[in-house]
Amino acid sequence: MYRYDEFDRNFVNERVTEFRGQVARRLSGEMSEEEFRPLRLMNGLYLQLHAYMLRVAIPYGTFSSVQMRKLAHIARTYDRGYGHFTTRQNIQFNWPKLDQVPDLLAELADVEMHAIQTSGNCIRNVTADPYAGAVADEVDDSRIWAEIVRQWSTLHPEFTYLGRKFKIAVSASDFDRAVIRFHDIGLILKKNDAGETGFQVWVGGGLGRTPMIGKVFNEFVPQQDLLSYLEAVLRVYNMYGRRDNKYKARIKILVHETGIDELKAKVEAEWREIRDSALKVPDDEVARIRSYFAPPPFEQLDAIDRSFETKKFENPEFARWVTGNVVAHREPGYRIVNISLKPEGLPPGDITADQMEDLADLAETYSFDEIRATHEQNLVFAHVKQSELFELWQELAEIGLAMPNIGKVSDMIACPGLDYCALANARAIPLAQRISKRYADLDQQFDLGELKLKISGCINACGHHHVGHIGLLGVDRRGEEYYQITLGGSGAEDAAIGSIIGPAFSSETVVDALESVISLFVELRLDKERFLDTYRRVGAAPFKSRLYPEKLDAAA
Amino acid sequence: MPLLKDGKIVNDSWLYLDDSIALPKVGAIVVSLARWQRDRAALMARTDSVGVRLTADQSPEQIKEDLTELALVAIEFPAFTNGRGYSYARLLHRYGFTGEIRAVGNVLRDQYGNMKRCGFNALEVKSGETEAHWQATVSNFSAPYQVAADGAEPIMSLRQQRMAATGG
Amino acid sequence: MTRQVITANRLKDGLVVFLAEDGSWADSILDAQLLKAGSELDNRLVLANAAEQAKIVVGPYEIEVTETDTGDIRPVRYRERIRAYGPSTHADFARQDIPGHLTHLDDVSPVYFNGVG
Repeated sequence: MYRYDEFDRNFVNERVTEFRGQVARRLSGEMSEEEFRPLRLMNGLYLQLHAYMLRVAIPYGTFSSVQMRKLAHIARTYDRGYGHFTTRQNIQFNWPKLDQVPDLLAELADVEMHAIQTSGNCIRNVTADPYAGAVADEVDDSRIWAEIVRQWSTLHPEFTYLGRKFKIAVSASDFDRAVIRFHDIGLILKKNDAGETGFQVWVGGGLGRTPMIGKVFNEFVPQQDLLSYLEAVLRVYNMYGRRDNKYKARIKILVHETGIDELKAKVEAEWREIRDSALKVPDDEVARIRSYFAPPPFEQLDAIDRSFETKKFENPEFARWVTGNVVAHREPGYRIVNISLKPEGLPPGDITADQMEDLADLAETYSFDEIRATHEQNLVFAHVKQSELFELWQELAEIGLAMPNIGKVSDMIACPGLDYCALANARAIPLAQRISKRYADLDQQFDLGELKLKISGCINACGHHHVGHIGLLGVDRRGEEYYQITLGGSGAEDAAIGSIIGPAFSSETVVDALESVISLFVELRLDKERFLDTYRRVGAAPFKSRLYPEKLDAAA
Repeated sequence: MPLLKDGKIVNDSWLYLDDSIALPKVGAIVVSLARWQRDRAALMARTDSVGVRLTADQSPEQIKEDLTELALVAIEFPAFTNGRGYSYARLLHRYGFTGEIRAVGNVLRDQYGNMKRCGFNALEVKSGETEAHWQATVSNFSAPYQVAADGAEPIMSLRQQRMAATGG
Repeated sequence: MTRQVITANRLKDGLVVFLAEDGSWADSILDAQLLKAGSELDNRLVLANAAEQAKIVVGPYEIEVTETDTGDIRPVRYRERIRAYGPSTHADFARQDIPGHLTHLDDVSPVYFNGVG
């Protein structure tokens, strides 16, 4: 994985010094909250419902055991013993004190981490495919390019006061594990007929109040021109994006209101001006960064390990975990292991400091000292020997992290919601906890198959409810927590925005309503169909009449 | 309004001329884009310098052809969070404009560094603010990650130079 | 009958605080000063805004509360109940220093979903 050279190290240290000065000026009263707010947000610091919250960047979700141990230390010292993985492959800590944040950042800098641009109206932490470098279906390692984008976007002097936040994701596969189509810019690495590498560029996707699927702006931007193309898109957005209404300020609205062809023409015109400039990424620099992502020293192994097959046969629980959480690796004898952070009844994405330290040890032993965070608030060990899966599973089970529910109904995304967030209208985590209890039966979860359930506590959609096969959106209805149900969304390569099925349900009735939807799916399902496919086949009508029978009576 | 120019607080020798006021015979003046477009000939006939003040929704593309006639372009920041002006300054720089690029309106001290990097060389400061106030916010980054308008060598090229020097 | 109390977050640590009778900022809503809407509230808001100027708190505002049978102060809006009582996601994050809000604690996580919601 990427390691800082002295330039990166100096930069991050200098950023800590700069922020220390800003905090001092805020505490001394030299700066008002209004002036401080954008500065602290650009360094990942929020003032939430109960306290400050610091969001720490994990660029493209890749980090090491040393970094994980530091995060555990931070969880103990500044949070109440927890860390919380987010949908941008980041981790956040509640309860830090403002005057301690500069020290916290200095501790992060010691392990080559920072909180730069994890919030604010700037280019956010760049995300990538969590299986990068391990999966067979990729064109190149997306993290190489995510790192190049990270450096270019870090404290970019021109794009620090954008109209709104700006999110970039990189993938290298036809399978979308990074929600590419719902980013301000989504990049998919491709090879052209000449065998050269470049990017298919999606622009104007996003969730929030007005969810939109991105549009392909360019089928193939050659790799050396990536930064000039990004700079052209950002400059056009910065100059023409709306500033009069924060709900209409994302680039998706600019694309929608201007029209794809006209905006594309503007971007292409700007790109022509800057394409042959110092923004070209030199081959040497690509090679330098690539060298950090060189494959780890894999052993030559047989594709089938006899002891692994025996263990699966002897131990059905292990077999279920393998079926649920383990996926194919491109090297014979290796596997990619998903570690679910959705144990029964606990807040999605939460991890204790002790678990962090244990996982750091396990990553060293079993996965070349490397950990990935996923946008679905889980973790990945990308390179585990098939022959060691059983030992790893046993060790994970001991620390409560062997839940085999990846992609199942209890593997929910949930935003912090009103338990923490100052913007939320309703709670999200407690609802996830109740659903997790309701669907505690793993046999039932496996029967239901892949079912992506996503919960947001407000219309900003941090819980990605629009792209849940089933989405739940918290609303405040006359002082009560209510939840709206959306059906049919997908954040994957079959991207779709879910439709609101009808009036919202109270917090007391929403779990029953969800169960009605799921049991109807079971009745209507053909063979082993996914929920999403059944919904697409039968449409919304049967679900509406199941959920709102009184309406049917009224109409009859 | 006092100005911060090249790191020093100076008195502003330019007059912002309201659209309704007749052109003075002498003295450097800054006019609105509308005034410039309307009274272009009269403004160019004067001996003293003229500048144009752009609002946040007026792109410098609209004065691209006129830049050789202008000694100053002022870019308005209606709110310090409205960052359009940063791109406008980059465009002016790219068009080869060599006059003064001035940030006016709601500008924060902490934005000074980014503004300089984008090509601004003067900023309007609030009365009572001293050079020391502004110097206190100047961050000491040894090298930036990006190429911008200030000519600072970005980290990527510094790495290239180092690789060339060490032959590796 | 509803009353008002003034709340904010403390600048230095961000924690939720309430304006007390002696003009200090208390950590617990039970120590908040109960105010009548109108001039009594308005006068105290002036003081609260001065505390913001004085770098003590951030964003002071008033909330509506009721007095419970046991004499405890209970915010009317659930958002403010969560602020006053702590997150409902972990049993140990709920504020143990404020009685009366954990009565609905049962075996179903979240610990006091019904108590707050």
